[in-house]
Amino acid sequence: MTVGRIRTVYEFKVRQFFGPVFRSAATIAFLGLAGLVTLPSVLVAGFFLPDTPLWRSTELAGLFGAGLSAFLAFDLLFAVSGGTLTHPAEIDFFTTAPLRPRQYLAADLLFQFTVTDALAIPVLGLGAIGLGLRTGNWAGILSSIVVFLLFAAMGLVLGQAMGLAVAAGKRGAKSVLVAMVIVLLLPSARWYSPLVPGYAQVPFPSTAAAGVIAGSLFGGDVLGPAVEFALFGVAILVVWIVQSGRDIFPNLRPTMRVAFGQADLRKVAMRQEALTRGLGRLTRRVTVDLMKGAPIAMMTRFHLMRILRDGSILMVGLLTGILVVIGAANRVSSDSPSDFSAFTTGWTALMIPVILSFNWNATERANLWTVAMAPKYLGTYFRGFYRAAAVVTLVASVVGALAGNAGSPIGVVASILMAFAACGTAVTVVAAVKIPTDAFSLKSVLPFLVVPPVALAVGGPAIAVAIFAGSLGLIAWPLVIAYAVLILYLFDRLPRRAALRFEL
Amino acid sequence: MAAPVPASLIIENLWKRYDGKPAVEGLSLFVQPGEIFGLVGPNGAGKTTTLKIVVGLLKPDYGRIVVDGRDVAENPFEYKAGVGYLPESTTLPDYLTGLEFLTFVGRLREMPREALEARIADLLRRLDLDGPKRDLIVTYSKGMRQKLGFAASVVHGPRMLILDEPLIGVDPAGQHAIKEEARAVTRQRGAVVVSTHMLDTAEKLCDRIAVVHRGRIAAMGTLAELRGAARTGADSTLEDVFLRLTEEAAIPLSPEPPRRPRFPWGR
Repeated sequence: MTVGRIRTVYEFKVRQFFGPVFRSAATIAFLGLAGLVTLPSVLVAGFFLPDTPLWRSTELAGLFGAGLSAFLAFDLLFAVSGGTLTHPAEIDFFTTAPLRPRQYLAADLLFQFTVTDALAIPVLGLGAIGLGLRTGNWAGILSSIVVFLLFAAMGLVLGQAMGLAVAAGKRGAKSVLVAMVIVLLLPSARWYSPLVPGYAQVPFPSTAAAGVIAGSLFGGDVLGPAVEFALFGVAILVVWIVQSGRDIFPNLRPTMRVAFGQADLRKVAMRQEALTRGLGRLTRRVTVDLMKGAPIAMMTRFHLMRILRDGSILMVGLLTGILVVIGAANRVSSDSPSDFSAFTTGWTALMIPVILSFNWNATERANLWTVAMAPKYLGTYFRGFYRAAAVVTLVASVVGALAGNAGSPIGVVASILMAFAACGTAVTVVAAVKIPTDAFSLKSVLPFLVVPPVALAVGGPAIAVAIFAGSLGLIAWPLVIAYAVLILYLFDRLPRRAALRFEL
Repeated sequence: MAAPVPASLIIENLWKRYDGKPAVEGLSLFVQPGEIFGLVGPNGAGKTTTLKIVVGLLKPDYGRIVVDGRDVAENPFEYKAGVGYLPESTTLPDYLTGLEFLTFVGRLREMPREALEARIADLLRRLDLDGPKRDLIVTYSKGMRQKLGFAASVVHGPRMLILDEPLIGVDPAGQHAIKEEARAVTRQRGAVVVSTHMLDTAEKLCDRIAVVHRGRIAAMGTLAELRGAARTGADSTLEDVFLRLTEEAAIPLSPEPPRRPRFPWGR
């Protein structure tokens, strides 16, 4: 009976989520194409993985620990919004039926595992085949995959249990959750300061799993980390059993309104916004006086506050985190980062304006009836958006550069120019083109298609100057400065012109 | 009936189609200063489309619109300074507080700081939003959001107020406050256009009413004039009139709008 109910709920969730994929030939074709492009490259990447400097690094176990800790931190961060993936219809019909909370939660965990981790199995499998063909260590690779999947499941169980505690309004639950995220990420500071204990020295579920994986792949002690990992697993299971024994139905929140292949970007943005709200007082406490300053200054402050409060800041944080991890990997694998690594900074940083423009399109476009009624300010509005996006992206770029991604100062200037160009282009695109918020429409991916090429084209000449600075001699800096001034001037004006084409 | 001079709003022979599907077909009306004018009609009659064209959020295929003596086609921006608009589905920035939102709108409307602060305080008090003014809009109920949207539409003291379903979800006290504010606009010789499905409210609030059906005016005038047009009797309600007129107005659809657009942006 119990299994039957769990299966019924699980099947509903899976059908609700994946159903639209099978109703749309375009989506199937899109996914098929994505698979054809991605999967062979995963196989090749797995084969050549041992050739990378990363693989030979003495700190590989620590890097595994960092990656898995970030994975777990993401699970916990997601838990702030409620811990379950619940469709609104489930609240209306399942929770009013004679269903036990634990049955519902077990089905939800299976579903979460299906949509978040099971889909990664083909990718992991192909990567593993590539690696196995190269190293011949099939047993070690297989056990590593099993440990990774167990660890992923463990993260989901912990996330759900903690999320339920937060949703129930348990005192201190949110603080504990945020503290756990911080503690999980703290050892990454080891790469910048030897005073902080690294991932190899701290007992986390993620480091235990990393220990088992490193031991399986490279030889060494597996039993110790495996026992530690198992103990964490039992502890997390106990927490879940306690939580799932309570009446959690009144606290369920509709956290999943979208289906696979029908992702509504507006809902995604709303979820980010809900997550930010869930993080507490941080965003609400930041206020700006909208009465002060010139209109452009007011608009810039307005957009900065919006980015902080509407959840966009979460994605910015995530991308900045990726930059820092890339920087750390650079430091581990190479003594002197090349100017070419400015591209890495620029590439990740230019994704920030794309995300900001997506979020704006999803949540803010409809609100613009107010600004459209005062059309004189439409240009100022978009120019303010550009400047705010530029400030945010600049901060992320600088963090990335400090983390070790950019080589020479000219390289830093190049990555900053790329970031500015990306901001100007992203804002211009959403101002001039009415972009639908449903996925798999060509227009909906327009920022992704347009922004990176423009930004790379803008950054390219500065990168070239950085690379050939030695040959150019004294003329290199004046050349870059003149180019930077020109770019900043052009991209500051572009959004205002695009506003003339704005349509609500 | 010819439009008196100067009318607050004149709409002449307005046409709009969406992907070839007719929404407004040759609609004409005028609104006088000091008048509350109602637009009633079935779903999809073209009321919202008409209002969106008047406030410049949609471009017409053909027709002429004059607001306060200014031809909108000649200057599609400046006339908006005197216009207030509340859309049908009010979307508000959830991440702002009510106070921040009204301040933002007031800045867009170039109101002086002191006047804006006083106006916001007055509106928040009258619409019973003073308590939650520092809460994020996302925490507001549907009625509170509607009242806040209304406050944004009148914060600058417009001469022409365009309201699309302003009373949906609003509590009785809020409805009273909204109606009072609308009447205050007309007392200043401004004009109000209200689109609504609440026929009893339209009957009591509006000086004249247009029944819109299939993108056209089926009848227009005072309630007495509408009763006459519908032949429903002297004590019939607007509901009786509406049902009769929309039933009778099974007018064959016109195939095409006129060929020569009068708007520079017309197709």
